[in-house]
Amino acid sequence: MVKYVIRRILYIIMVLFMVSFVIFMLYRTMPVDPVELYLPIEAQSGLQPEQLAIMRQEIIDTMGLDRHHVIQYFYWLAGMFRGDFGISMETRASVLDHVRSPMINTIMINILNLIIVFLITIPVGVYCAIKRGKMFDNVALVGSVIGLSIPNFLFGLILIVLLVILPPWNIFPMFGMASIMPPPAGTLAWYLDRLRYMALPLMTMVLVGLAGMIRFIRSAMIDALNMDCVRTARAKGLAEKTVVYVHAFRNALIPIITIMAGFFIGIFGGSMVIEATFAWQGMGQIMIIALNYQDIAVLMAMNVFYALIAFSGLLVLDILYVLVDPRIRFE
Amino acid sequence: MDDKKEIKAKKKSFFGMLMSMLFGERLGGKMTLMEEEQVQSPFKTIVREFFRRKLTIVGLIGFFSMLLASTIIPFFFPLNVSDTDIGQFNQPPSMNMMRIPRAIRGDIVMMSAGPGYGVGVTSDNVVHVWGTVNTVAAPLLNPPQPGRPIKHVSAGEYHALVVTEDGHVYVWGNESPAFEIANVPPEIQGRVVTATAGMRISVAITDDGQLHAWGGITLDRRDTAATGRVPRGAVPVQVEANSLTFGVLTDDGHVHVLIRTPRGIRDVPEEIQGRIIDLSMSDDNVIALLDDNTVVVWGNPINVDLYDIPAEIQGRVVNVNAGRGHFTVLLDNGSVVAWGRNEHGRTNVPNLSNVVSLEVAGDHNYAILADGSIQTWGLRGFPFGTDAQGRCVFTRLWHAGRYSLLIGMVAVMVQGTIGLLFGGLSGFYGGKVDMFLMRFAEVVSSLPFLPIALILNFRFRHVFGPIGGMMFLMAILGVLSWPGLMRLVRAQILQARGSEYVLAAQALGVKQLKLIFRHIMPNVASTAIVLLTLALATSMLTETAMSFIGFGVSEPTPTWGNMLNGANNSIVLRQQWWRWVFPAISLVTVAISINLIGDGLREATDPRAQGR
Repeated sequence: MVKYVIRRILYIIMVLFMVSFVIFMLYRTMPVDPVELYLPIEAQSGLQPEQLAIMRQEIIDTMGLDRHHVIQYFYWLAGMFRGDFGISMETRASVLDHVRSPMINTIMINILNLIIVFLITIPVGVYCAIKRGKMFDNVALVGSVIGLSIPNFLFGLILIVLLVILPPWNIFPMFGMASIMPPPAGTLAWYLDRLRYMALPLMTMVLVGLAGMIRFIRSAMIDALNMDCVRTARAKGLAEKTVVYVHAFRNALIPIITIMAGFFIGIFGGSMVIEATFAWQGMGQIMIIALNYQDIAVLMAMNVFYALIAFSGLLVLDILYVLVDPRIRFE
Repeated sequence: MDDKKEIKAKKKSFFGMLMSMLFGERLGGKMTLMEEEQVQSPFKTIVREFFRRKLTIVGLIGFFSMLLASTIIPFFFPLNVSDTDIGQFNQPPSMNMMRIPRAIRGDIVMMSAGPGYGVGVTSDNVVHVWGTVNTVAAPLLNPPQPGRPIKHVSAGEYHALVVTEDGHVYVWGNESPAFEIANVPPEIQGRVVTATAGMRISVAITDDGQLHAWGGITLDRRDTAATGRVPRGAVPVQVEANSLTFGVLTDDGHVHVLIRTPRGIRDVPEEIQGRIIDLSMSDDNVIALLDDNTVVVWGNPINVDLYDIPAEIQGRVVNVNAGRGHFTVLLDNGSVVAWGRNEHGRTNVPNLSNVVSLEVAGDHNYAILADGSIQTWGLRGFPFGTDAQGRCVFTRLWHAGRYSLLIGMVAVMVQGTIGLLFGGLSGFYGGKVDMFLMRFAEVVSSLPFLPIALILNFRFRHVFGPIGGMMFLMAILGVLSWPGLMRLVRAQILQARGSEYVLAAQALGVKQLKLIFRHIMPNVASTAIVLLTLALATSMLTETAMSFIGFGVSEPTPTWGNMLNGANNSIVLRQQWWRWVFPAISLVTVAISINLIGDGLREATDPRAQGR
């Protein structure tokens, strides 16, 4: 098992190298002066041309910008391992400082989303599978078809209309990240303020997630309930609860985990659009601004981040497989 | 010879095989009724199962009606992507822009038209306003009632004014403080002969032959207009306005354009100066009537196609009017002739013979007949309103539908081709090919879809131009989403390869390619079709999301996504519902329909999937 996990890790690291290489090459073809990516803000003003030239030359030397693209890639990679992703064109701050807090925001909201979605969908999906063809099941199915057909940002707009514009009360703010004059950081009021602004994007994400997930979990559970082992368990005279939750659910877990990994990869993409809809300060928002500014250093770091998220999702998936499925463990 | 033919007829192409497999031998017509009753082809079962579900039928109807509408309606409502109208932005849905209230029909003694609305004065000197205006110009609908005889009325872009017989001016409309439209110079009240409302600026001619202007965006512009370039001694008799400038006609037959405009409007032909008796201006064009009843037009060089005046009208014209992209003139026999670009039916002049005067504003045309009734043609309104650039949402919606559906379909085709090819290769050859392709699929499927698609589209869309960029987007959507299909095809083929009939074909010495395409692929087809149907909805929704955040298909090409771009704004959500509700409904209708069809197909093709 340890061997299996190590093999997967090595494989994923190799793929990550490949992806980062492709990303790097993609950006190097863009018509932007790469030296600009590393010039600090002081270089914008108050520097003599000679000093600037020296500074540029220094950057070219340290980053190897006069060398072959492949070698430049390794310089860039080495920089990343040191935590040096370059400098944001927009703010002239280091990329790491630029993306740190949005990154934390995005990861936080997405993990919350993941937890809430699975806390809701697993019981509901299992219930639908048991009560197949009943009223509740049909309603859930129709709801999920409708939910799958509404793009995530439209969910957001509908929620804004239903929860902010139409009702007379004003619990949720429509857009933004925090109040104009937020309470002092760290206090309970501050957290509540943050939560209030996070509520609508999170609700949108959860609704989008529900629509997609309930169906999958339901059909995975139906498959599991049709297995021979379940029939045997019933024939043995086990309690229905034991049959469903021990025998069937255990078998349904493998497809559920597969879906969960896909969902995990997908939500980061989806959260981009939702963050943009609500002007919520996350990675998606940062990436869209970076696209508008042609902020290459940020974009490159962002893409590596997304790839890293996706591949760590895959890795977690592999490990979960091993934990859930003894057939893999003893292979 | 006959034998050969028979053999040939029995030999079927891949497509024929697929068809006969799907339709059974029914197409050949060789079966008797009894036989057909007994044997039912798989496809017939599929069709029967498919059509048995009501929701599927609903989906089919929904999808095909939207597809049909998006294909047919664009032919009748061509899209002019550069056609923006500053006077008509954010107009609510309506069709009443030229509908004069029944009560005052036949009683209107004078009127003036503005974008989306009209102002009329009845014989009892009551000012009436009809039509539709956006929220910016909403105060226009409540005109003041001077209660005195009115001699002139003029409708501008966001405000209108009336001049009473005793020389007072009453202004109403959008009163944003920056424009001061109601700030009539007090010294002219009681002395005004005539006045004209332009775009947030008004010009009046007083009884001493002086021009006075007020309102306007900058003081500079106001000053230019106020001092004017009318030579001393010449008395202005008529002022014409468009959204940029004013043209003044003086009593010596000269035209003076008061504000410097870049677009050819001020290039009054020298040879006609001194002979002009009537003048009309639109945003891009000017038409002038000379003393020998001929007309001359000039203006923005991009409209050069408008300047071919019909030869038969020269010498017979008594009144001239310039609209948006067209001219309407009144002839001496009381008939009306119009020429120009026929959008919104603005040159479809009804057959009239007793017209007294014409009133043209933008795309609206009013002809006042001798009996006091009014005939109208041209733009009656926007059924789905307009967007922030004054573009018709209805027209854009269906063109957008065409593009959105096209993008989705081509993306699915790309996805299908790659998925089937790679899946087929992988499943059939196995070994190293399989290993390599599966690893490749794993990498592609684990790429974060939206960020990568955004980056690729952002990086390359300008390289390929607007149409090429759209095709590139289709390709991206397809190229990033094939792994799911590939895995499915691979699994199906692995299953089929182990089956006896393939073994038999192999034993008979059937070539590999033929084996794949003739014996194995038809079995994969049904599963692939289900997946691709559902992928169509996904591709469309992805395109929409990308365009919504502004990195998909770029303006002015409409798609449902970029029509929704800008809707995450409280004013749009609150007040301009038509700008997002219509694209959203169309999009969701199509997506739900496709998903319902996909579900129906899955249930029909896969007996195990019943109720799943």
